[in-house]
Amino acid sequence: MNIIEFSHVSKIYRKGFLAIKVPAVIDLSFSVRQGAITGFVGPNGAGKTTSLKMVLGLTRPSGGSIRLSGGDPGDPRARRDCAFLPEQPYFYQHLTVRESLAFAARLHGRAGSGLRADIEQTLDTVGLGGLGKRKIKELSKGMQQRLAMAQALLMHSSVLILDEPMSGMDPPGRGLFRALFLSLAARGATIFFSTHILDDVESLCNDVVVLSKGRLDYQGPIDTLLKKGFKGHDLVVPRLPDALKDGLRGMGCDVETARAEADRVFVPSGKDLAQCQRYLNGHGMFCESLTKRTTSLEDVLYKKQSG
Amino acid sequence: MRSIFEIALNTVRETVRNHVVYMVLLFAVILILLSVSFGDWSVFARIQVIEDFGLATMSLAGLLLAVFIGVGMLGKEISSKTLYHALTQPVARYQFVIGKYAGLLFVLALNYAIMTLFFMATLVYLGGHVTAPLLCAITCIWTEMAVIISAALFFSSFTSPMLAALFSIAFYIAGHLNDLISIQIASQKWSGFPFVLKALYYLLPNLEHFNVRDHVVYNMALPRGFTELAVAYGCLYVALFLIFSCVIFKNKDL
Repeated sequence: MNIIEFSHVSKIYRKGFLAIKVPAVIDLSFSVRQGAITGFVGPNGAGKTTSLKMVLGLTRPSGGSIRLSGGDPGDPRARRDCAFLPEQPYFYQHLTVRESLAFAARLHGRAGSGLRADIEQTLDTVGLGGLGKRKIKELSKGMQQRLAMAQALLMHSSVLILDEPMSGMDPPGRGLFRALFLSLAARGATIFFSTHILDDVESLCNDVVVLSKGRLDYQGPIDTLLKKGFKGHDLVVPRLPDALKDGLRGMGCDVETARAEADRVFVPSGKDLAQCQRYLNGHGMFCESLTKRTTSLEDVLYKKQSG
Repeated sequence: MRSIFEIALNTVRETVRNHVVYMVLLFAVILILLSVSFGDWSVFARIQVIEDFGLATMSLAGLLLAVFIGVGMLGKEISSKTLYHALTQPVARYQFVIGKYAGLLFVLALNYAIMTLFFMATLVYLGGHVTAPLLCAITCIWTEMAVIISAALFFSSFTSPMLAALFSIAFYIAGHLNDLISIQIASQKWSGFPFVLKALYYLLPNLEHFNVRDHVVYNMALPRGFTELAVAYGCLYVALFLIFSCVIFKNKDL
């Protein structure tokens, strides 16, 4: 089942006195699976934030349709099970940390005697324990992002939509967010987040949606995208005699020194890995390790967008 | 309903923590106190001057609150994007607008309650009386301010806070000059534009309907049912402005 569905969505802004049309999103169709962590990537100005705003009903599409949890994003009922974490948290600066969380929770229909205890527990989870009485204007940006995450956790929402959640966060903060994402996903939550940090996408996401200049560039499992960047296999073996090196080179492999007592044999994709292994084994050489050599997601996306 | 209440409560909290409210309140209190000495210099009876000045001060204080706070209620939220906090929750946009309005109206009522108590205490201390026309005048001023705030909210739903403030002040002035239009229509001086004048006359609320200061100062009786009619007239405009604000805000890209 899909939690978010874009169907031929376009968004055109009108700018300036002459209301010149500026397309932000063009004929965009993609979906986000329930229970998956989906990364939403693309360069600046690709239309990611506009798309997220449309999912949340903050902006209306100029054409096409969007479904959030089966409903229209403009309908508050569709957002009942959804939490949003913006890139720059927009909190009411006059509120304290606890008041802000309580306000959001009550808007979400949560109330009762257990709310205060839940708030304290959630603040502990995001590393803001003991800061409940502090004014939001006294928090740093990183702390406000943690507070935004606390708000999302407090709702027990099953859909989390996040706009660059880890930009500007310190390494412990990023580590905490990654751990929270994985724990939420393990509980069945759907997480859809935009980011420029492709390491996060590689390590966290099941699926990825790639935008470029307002259009869909790729949608699907991240593994499929990474397979496109598969270069071959690296075999680490004990130091090889020159004759064996020549033999391997004759089979289309590269051989280089890995360390003082070991060589690395690179078997490019398309070459027969099993044949190379048999050749080595036949000469009494056995692999210490076998790894895939791939290009990074960044390289894959860069190549896609520049080519 | 709960969302409206929560947004109103947050608005009250935000406004109460805003120093502008206290400055306006202090300004009103100082003006009421000054009216005591103005009464000594005036050719009119001292109590009459205090009544006239006090009511005018309350009207002005309400306008200042509407301009400084009412206009920013929506415009500031849009520019600072703090409204994302509420609108990404299961909250409808009309609930947000009405909650904001209700919160501000409550703060205004609280301010007027304090000003009224202070004004009446000053009046009674100096030998004046709390009369029925005086209570009616205060009710009318409060209703007028409820209209001004709803207009400010309406203007801020489609324009910048600065322009919304200017529009609100213009609306206040035009509303008080509305009677002049009817005089122009009656005199047929602008016979070329009777339709435009009539349209303006009926479109703009006549804020002079809320001005009964003369009745208070000269202790004249008000027609039976006047206060109720004035409040109903104000409520009608408030409802219209809120409906228009909600419709515009519903379709606004945030």
